[in-house]
Amino acid sequence: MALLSIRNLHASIGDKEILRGVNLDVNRGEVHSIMGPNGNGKSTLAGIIAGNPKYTVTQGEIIYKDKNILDMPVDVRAAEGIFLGFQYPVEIPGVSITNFMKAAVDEQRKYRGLDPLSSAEFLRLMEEKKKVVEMTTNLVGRSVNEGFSGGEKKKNEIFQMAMLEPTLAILDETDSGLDIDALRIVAGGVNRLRSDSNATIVITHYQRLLDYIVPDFVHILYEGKIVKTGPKELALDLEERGYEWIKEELAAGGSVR
Amino acid sequence: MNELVRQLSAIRVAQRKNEVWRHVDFSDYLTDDMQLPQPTVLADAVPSEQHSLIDGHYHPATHRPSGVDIISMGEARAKGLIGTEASSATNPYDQLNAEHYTDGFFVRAHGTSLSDGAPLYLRTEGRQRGATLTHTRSIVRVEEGCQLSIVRSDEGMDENTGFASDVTEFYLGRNASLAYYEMQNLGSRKALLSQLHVHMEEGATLQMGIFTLNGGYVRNHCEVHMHGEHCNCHIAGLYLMDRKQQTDDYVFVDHQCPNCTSREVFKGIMDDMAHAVFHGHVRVDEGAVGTNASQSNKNILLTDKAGVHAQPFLEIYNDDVMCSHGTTTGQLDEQAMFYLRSRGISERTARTLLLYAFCDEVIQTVSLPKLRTRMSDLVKKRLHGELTPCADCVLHCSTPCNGPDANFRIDTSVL
Repeated sequence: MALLSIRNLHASIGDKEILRGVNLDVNRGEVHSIMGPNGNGKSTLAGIIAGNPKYTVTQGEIIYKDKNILDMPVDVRAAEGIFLGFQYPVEIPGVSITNFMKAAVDEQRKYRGLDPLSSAEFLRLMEEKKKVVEMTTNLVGRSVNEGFSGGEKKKNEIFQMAMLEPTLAILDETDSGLDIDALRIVAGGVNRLRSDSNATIVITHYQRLLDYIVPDFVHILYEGKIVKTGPKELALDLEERGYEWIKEELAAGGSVR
Repeated sequence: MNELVRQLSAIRVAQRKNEVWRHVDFSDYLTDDMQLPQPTVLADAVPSEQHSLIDGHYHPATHRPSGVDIISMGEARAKGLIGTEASSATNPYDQLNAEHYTDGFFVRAHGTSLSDGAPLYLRTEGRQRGATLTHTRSIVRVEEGCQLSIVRSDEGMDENTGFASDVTEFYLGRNASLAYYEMQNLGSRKALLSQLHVHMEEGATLQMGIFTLNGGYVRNHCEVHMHGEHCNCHIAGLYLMDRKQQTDDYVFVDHQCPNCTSREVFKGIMDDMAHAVFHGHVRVDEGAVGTNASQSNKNILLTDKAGVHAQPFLEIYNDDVMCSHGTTTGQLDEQAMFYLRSRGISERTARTLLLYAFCDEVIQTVSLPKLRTRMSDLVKKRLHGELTPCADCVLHCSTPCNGPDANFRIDTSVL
């Protein structure tokens, strides 16, 4: 059984249908990349797996660790190991990163029947995990994402991922707004966290990121469906030819699959 | 005695059509059996740093910051130190207060350097048993070029009914600077009508913060008059109300002269059936060119039955000004909530964190670091439910509560 198995997923925001029957299987140890033109449902899919209440699932199911998670509260999904790296991380002035992460780590530990970390243990863990994304700034006393540059926000997402050690990480356009150095650091962090027991879904527009985070599969999400799946070379094809040929193939009839 | 109750009721009825006072209704807190406060012989000593008005009478403290004189209003009156100011009543409640106040603080800051930055601690408390009606009145003068910080608390968490009318007049000389922070933590059977009348001369600076943590009915009536150029005032307010508690904040800033700035930030959280009024009024006179004024009022309602009436108002008589106002009322931001919960934080914890974050903007306006930490702790405790132990609290106060009996007092002596 796959770690994540999405079956015929339909979803909408308000009256607008965005996903129109997504099917996807992700196994432990795999990296999947989801690509596709803007506005075709990539972020929606990521949000729905994490449980964003903004979207309504109208049909289908998401099976994760053999459980249908559609009715599972957002925080329980997280405690079960699902992590979403946000495309636009939210700024929360007044909540320090330390308090935020301590609350998250402790509540996830509580869910797994573990005692909370002592302050010393926690601070040690933070220092260790900061290295994953080469963070040099002193996080203590800083509010969550407040006044962070685009790059710092994305590094902070990967830092949180390192702290929480998820089983399934979904990175929603983690590369957008990053310069080449920051991209290398962020991708390096993701690679360091890869293992045989976890899986990663990377949502991106550009092949560039996939030079650093090499996927096992590339999927194209178009008009609310995964219309094509291929090996990592598919991303290179897209980079070269754009999305037009996919649209043409689809128009010519039949599945591109 | 009941004559005073009758007069207060009559004023309230007469002022119902006055825009400034029309929401004010403390009739539930006035009873026929109300007593005037009697001088108290204190069983325990007054903390050495807190000058206190206990049951309407002054109890001096031994400590005061250098360059600051403080005596009782009674003594000041006897010495002929009170000039015309005490008769400059601006409204009927002020008038009644001027006629009936028992005592108050008479403060004069004449030092040019408060290098130690130590504030003056003032405390008002009702300890008398039974329903009490108190009128107190204070005067604070900050002389030309001088600086003063005041930390004031209004306390009385007991269940006795009480009505307190307190007026404080502030006179800031040229280039004088005042930081004034008032914390209110009163029982649900108590009403407080607090009036702050500030007069600023050229170049004066005012930093004010009003924190209403509890109280049956609290009206903060604040008037700032800028009589000279280049005055600068920043007024912040935070009100956290639950059950049937009510607040009514009125802030009037009068820009009479050119090139003055004023900034108001008021925020509140209302739970249960609590209700708040914010009425901000900025008037910019004809000659007051180069005025920069802003008003902001934001509210979070936690239930359908909680309510707020927000009324920002700008009255501008010249073109060369920069003025803005804004008000919002709503629930917690859903995307911020999703962000926190997507990290495994439960809904309850996420709510607590976001409510605190909402208050933080106001807490950060406190310029005294120790008071800022203390305010932050008090707000955390208030949000967490004042009598619950800290064990499962996520906010990590710097001074943890002492178990389930932790007393929720302002206690400025720990600053």
